[in-house]
Amino acid sequence: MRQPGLETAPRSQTRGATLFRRFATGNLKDSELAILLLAPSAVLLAGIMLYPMLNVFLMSLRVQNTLEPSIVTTSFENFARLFSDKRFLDDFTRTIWFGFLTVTGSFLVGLPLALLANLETGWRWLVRVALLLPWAMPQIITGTMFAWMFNSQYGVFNDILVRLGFERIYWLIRPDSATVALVLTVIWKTSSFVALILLGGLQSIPLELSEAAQVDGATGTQIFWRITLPLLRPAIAVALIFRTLSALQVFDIPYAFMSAGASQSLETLGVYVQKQTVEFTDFGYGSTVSLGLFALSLVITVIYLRFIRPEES
Amino acid sequence: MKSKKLATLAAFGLAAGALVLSAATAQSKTTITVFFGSTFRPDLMRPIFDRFEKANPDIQVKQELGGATSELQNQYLTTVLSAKDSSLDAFLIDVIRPAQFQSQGWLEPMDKYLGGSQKTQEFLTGYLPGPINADKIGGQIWALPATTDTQFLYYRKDLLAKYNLKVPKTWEEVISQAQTVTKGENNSQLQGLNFQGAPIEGAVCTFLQPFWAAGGEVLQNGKVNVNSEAGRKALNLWVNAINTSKVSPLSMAESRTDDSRKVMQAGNAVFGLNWAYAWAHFQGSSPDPTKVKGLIGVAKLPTFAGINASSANCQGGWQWGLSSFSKNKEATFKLIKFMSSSDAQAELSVKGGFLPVRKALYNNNAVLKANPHYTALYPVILRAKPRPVTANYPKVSEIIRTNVNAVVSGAKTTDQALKDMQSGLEGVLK
Repeated sequence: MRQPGLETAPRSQTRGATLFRRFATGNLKDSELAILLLAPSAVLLAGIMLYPMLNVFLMSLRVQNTLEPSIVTTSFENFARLFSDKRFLDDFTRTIWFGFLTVTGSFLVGLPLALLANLETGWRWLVRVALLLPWAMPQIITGTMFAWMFNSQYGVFNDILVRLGFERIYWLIRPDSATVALVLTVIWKTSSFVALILLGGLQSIPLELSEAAQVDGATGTQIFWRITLPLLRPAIAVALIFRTLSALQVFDIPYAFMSAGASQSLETLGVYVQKQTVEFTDFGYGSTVSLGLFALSLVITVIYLRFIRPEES
Repeated sequence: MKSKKLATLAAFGLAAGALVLSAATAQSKTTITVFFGSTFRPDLMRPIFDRFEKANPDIQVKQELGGATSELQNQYLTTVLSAKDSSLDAFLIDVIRPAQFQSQGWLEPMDKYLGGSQKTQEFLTGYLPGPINADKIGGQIWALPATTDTQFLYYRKDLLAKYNLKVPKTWEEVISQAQTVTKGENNSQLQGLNFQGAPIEGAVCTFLQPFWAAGGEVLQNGKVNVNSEAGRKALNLWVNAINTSKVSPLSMAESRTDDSRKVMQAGNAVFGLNWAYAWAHFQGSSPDPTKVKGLIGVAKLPTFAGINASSANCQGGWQWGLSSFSKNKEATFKLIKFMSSSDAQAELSVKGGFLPVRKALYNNNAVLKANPHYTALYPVILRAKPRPVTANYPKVSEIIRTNVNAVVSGAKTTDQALKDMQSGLEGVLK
C-alpha cells in the first residue's frame, strides 16, 4: 500500500531530477534504493574480506632473497617456487589426508551422538551439555591439553596403558602414532559440531513420519535408513562442508602437537603458512602458500556445491 | 548563607584544580612496556623495575610476559613488530635474534643514546666480548646484553661419589658412567643422561656442541659442511645413548629445556645438559621443590676420546632490544641501561643464577658465593661459540632442530638427517 502523498506526487517531475534531488524527495528508483541499502554492508564486507584477500595476493608478489632476506623484489617467482617446493606438496597431500580422516571420523562419531541427544530421556540435557563442551573449547587449548595427555612420560594415556600392563606408546614421537593422536584429538574436538548441526536437522523431521512408518510395521533400522537419513541430507551436507573447510585450514592442534615433540610429521598447510610468515618473516612466500590453501578450499567447496544442488531442486 | 555558598564554590574549585593537576601528573608519567619470556623470572625482575621507578618517578614500567620458549616469544614479537605496533617499548630477545630483527628494521640503534661511537666503545669495554659481538652489526650496537648463557654438564656429585667415579671428560666416559650408575641404582625413574631433543631452539645446540667437539664447523671455507664425520659423531651420540647404551629414554624427543631442568631437579637424572639458569633452581631458588640441593656438580661439556678438538659450548643469553616503533625511546633506553648495570646484573645472578654480562662480576663476592662454579667455568663462558650469525637464522634453526628431533625420535636415520640438513642449510647459508 502506497502512502497517499506519494501516490499523488507527479512522477514526471522526478524523472529528470538529479540523483541527489530524487534522494532528498524520497523518489529513488527501486534499483537505486537497493544499491543505497546494500552499500553499507558491501563496504563493510569489502573492507574486512575483499581488501585482506587482495592484500594477500599483492603480498604474494613480494619475493624475498633466500640468502639475504632484506633484498626484496616483485615478481611471480613465489608461485614457481610453490610448485617445486617439496615441503609444500607434502603438506598439501597431508592436509587432504588428515581432512579425509577427520571429517569421516567426526561424521561417524557425530551422527550417533546426535541420535543419542535426540532421544526422549531424562538424561537428554546431560548429553547435550556434554556435546557443547568440546565444541566450545578453544582449539589451541584442546591441542595443548591433548599434547599433555599424549606425552610419553607423564601423559594420562600412557599411564593407563602401563597400569593395564601394556607397553608405553611414544605417541607424539613416532610419526605414525602422532598421526593417530592428531586424528583422534580432532575427531574428539569436532564431532560435537557435526552432532549439533545434525541434531538441528533431526529436530526438524516431523515425528508423524516415523510414527506412521511404525504403524505400517517398519523396524527401527528401516525407519533410520529410509526416513531419518534421507531427510537429514541437507543438514549432513551443511555439516560436511563446514567440517571439510575447517579441516583443511586446521592449524592449532597440529601446531600444539608439533611443538610438543611431533616435529614435522604433522605439518599441515595452515602450520606451513604460519612458519613462513611468523617464524621465517617471509610474508611474500607465506601469502603464496595461503593462496594455495585458498585454491584447495575453493575447489572442494565447488565440488560440494555441485553435489548438493540436485538434492535441493 | 553566602559564606556557605562561597565555601562550596571553593571546594569545587579545589576539587577541579586537583583533578586537573592529577591529570597533568598522570600525563607526565611515561609508561614503558617491557616484554620477556616467563622463564626469565618475573618475580626477580619486578623488584629491579621497582627500584628503577623509585629512581625515576616520572617513568612507570609495565611488564608483559611471553611464552616459555625462545620460539614462542619470537613468534609473538614478530607479529607485534611486523605490524609496526608501538605497544612494546623494550623486549628481551635471544642472542641469535639481533641480526634478524635488525634486518627487519625493528631495532633502534643505541649508539646515539650512549653519546656517540667513542662513548659507546668506552661503555662496552666492561662487557664480555661474546654477547657484544652478537649485538654489534655494521659497527653499531643494536641491543644490550641482559645476561649471557651457555650449556654445562650438570652431574650428581653424590651418585658419582657412591660409585667411585671421577667427573667425566669425554662423552664416552659420560655414557659408561651413566650406565654404571643406572644399573647400580636400579631405579626405573632415573635417567642416565638427559638432554633436549624436542624441536626447540635449544636442540640446535644439542647438535652443535658435540659437532664442534668432534672438530666440525657449520661453515668451512665458506661452504656448509655438516654432512661430515663430525656431524655423524654428534648425532650418533644421542641415537646411541637411546638405542645402544640405553642411558637416555626415547622421551628425549619430547624434552624441552625446562622439562630437562625439572627432571634433574626431581632427582631423576645422573647427567643433564642444561643452561646456566638451572643451577639456581637446583639449589632451591625455584617455584618447584628441589631434591638435589647441594648434590649437583657443574662441569664443562665433554669432548670425544681420540679427537683433538677442545670442548665447545653454545653462546646463549638474552639481549635488551629497544623497539624502533617505541614512542618513549629515551625513557626506555634509561631502563635498558639500568638493567645492564652492575647492581641489576649481580642481583639477577645471585637470585636467579643468570650469568652476568660484565666481566667484573665474575670476581664479585656475592655473585661467587651464590654461584661457586663460576670461578672454574669462567674460561668456558668466555669461550662460548656463537650459532651461525645470519638474518636468515630462523630457517637455519628450523632445519637443524627438526632434523635433530627426527634423529632422536627415530623418524630419520643419522645419514638421512645429515643429508637433509646439508642440503637445507646450503639453501639458506652462504
